[in-house]
Amino acid sequence: MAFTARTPREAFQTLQDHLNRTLNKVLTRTRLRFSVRHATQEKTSLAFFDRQLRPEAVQLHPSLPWYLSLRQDIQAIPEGRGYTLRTLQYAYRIQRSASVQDEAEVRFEYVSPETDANFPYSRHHVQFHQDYHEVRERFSLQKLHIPTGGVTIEHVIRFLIADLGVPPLVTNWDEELKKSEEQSRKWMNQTQ
Amino acid sequence: MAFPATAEPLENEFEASEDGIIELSDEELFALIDRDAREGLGMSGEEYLRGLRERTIPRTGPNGYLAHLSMLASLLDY
Repeated sequence: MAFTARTPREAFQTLQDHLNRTLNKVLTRTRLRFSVRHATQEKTSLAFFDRQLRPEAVQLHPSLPWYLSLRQDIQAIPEGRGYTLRTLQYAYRIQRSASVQDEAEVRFEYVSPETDANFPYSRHHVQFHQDYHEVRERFSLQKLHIPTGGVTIEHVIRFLIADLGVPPLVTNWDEELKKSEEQSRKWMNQTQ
Repeated sequence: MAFPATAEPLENEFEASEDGIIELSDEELFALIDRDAREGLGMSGEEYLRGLRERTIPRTGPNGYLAHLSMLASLLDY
């Protein structure tokens, strides 16, 4: 079933509920929160915020060094009699502290043409901490915008569990992620 | 949209409405940008938005405040 909602707000709420259900079932009890501009309400910004709306990275397990920061900008697009959703920008960061000021170990990012028509780098890219060793002269993983496909929140959850050893909250996490990925694919109208 | 002459300091906690979404006025968005640009980048919100417009400040980078502020600015159509 394709994603449509009667209003932008309904679309945002549906997405928020869906992502929080997946995150809270599989990875962390922390919930993503949406903020919208009161005047227009067709754009929204989704993130882990503290109570003063400061961005934060949440610790994933007390015995592991990994913190996760998720940030996504979304726009509701009129389609037929309802609205569908488009991702405008995202930044998913895996780091070793709660402060998003600190450099991430790895960050997956996207900047859409709507956000910056002249963005010079690969719009979808992954970047690594500056202390990674250069693998070739003038090929620094900290500086290059290495192209990737569109990275979803589900991809990041999978990476955390499968590669970094973060324990999932349920044993059938793989099945839950596959269901969530399938649902997100149907709902999200992501450009480029 | 011009940066307001004085951005009110933010002291309150932000409560979500029943559907879990936090509504922000333009004044609150400007104040958030000002607070977070000062805390995260060491500059005022006005300086940050000018730098974003003039492309001297990137939308992403090692400091996560860059992406955070870019997305706040996007809500104000910057």
